[in-house]
Amino acid sequence: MKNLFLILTILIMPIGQYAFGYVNVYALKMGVAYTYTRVTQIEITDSLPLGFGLSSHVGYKFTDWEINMSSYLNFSKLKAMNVEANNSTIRGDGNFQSVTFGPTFRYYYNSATTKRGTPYFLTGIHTVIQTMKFGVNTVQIDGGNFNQFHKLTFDGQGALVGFGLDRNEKKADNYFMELVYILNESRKTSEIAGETQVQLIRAERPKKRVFENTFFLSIGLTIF
Amino acid sequence: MRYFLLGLFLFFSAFKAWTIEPDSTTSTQPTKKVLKRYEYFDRGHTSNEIASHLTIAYAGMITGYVLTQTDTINKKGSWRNYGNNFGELTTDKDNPIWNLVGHPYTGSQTFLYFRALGYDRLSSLNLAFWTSALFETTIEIYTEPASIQDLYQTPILGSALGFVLERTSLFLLNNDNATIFKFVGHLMNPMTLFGFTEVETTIYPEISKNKQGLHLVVSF
Repeated sequence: MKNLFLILTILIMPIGQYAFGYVNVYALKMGVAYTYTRVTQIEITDSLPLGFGLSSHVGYKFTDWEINMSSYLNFSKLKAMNVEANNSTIRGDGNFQSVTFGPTFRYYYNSATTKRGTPYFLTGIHTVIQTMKFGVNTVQIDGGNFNQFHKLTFDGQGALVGFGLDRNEKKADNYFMELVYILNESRKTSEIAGETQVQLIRAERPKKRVFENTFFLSIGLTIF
Repeated sequence: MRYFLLGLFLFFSAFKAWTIEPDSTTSTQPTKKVLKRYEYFDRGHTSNEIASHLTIAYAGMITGYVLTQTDTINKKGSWRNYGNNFGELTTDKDNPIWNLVGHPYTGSQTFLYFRALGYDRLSSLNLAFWTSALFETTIEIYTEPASIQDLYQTPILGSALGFVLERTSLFLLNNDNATIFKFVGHLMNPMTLFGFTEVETTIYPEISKNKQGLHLVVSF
């Protein structure tokens, strides 16, 4: 997966000259989002875990297809959660962050274009890194020897599907809206310490598989 | 040594900052107010130019790394690490502030460097990617393996940030009302201070009995 990331990035990167119009052209797009996240193995007993997201895409747009190297970044606050780590049970509030990197493919239904834009279908695969940081003042740790100042990280892979509407007119003032569902599975859990100099305390395969389900409602524009 | 390099760097940047100001004593229109405009002109480049610009950006990134990461290099760096990390690609556990602010800022300045040399935005993004990828895979592996976050976020988020800094700095620099605007403009986009910047346009008005108009001088 990581090598695929590098190969696709290198294939997409030899960017040539501008093309005129918004087909057969390279573009950089960015969007901001509301996110809704649920993570298995983390019980949330309080309010909806809504968060903030950021997406970025760089790639090439053909007439019907678009291939991008994309990243989805999700910051969520988790309230009253309950997590098992390092033989400890951690209860309290915290922050959850996940960031994905991978190729995405858009298919534009040009026949359904209206004056508001062209609908599209989106899919992709990615590698993901998730980080969980606990609120030192609110967290309660039962058993084990997990340090409240430490963070948990999860490495894994995932996929996404979604649909959206792209204005699909002049590239310079193009914008898009999309709803994406992201499913991630973590393969490795790590306990880390330190803010500037990060130190790995332990890494292990999780006893139970950890899945992250995120809905990503995004609005964005073509930067250039 | 690093303070010497930093001093040299500042000296040349300040030198250029002084010399690019229009000399009013030799102007043909000494009594008229000269408006200096900063703009970017995209042009084609030869392979030799691209190679040399890429090399300079790469060298700049290495210099910045040595100056800012001395402790990390001393503590974690080794040739054994270099051998082990060569060709490795991983996901790092660095602080999000570092990955989402530090690296994109570095990428934005690399993007603005290439913009200042006359590359269009997509080519600047492309070259920012190659500079960052070369640095990640051949230099930073002395202390840690190349990371996916750095490879992606440095050029991609960096170029988006660079685009915003470019537009904002040009707006401030081309605003003739306040020195503080120019100061902030140069601070946002320091590449406008350097000798290689290809962005200078001078416009000055001429109003006389028989002539009314603007002189446009474009410097490449």
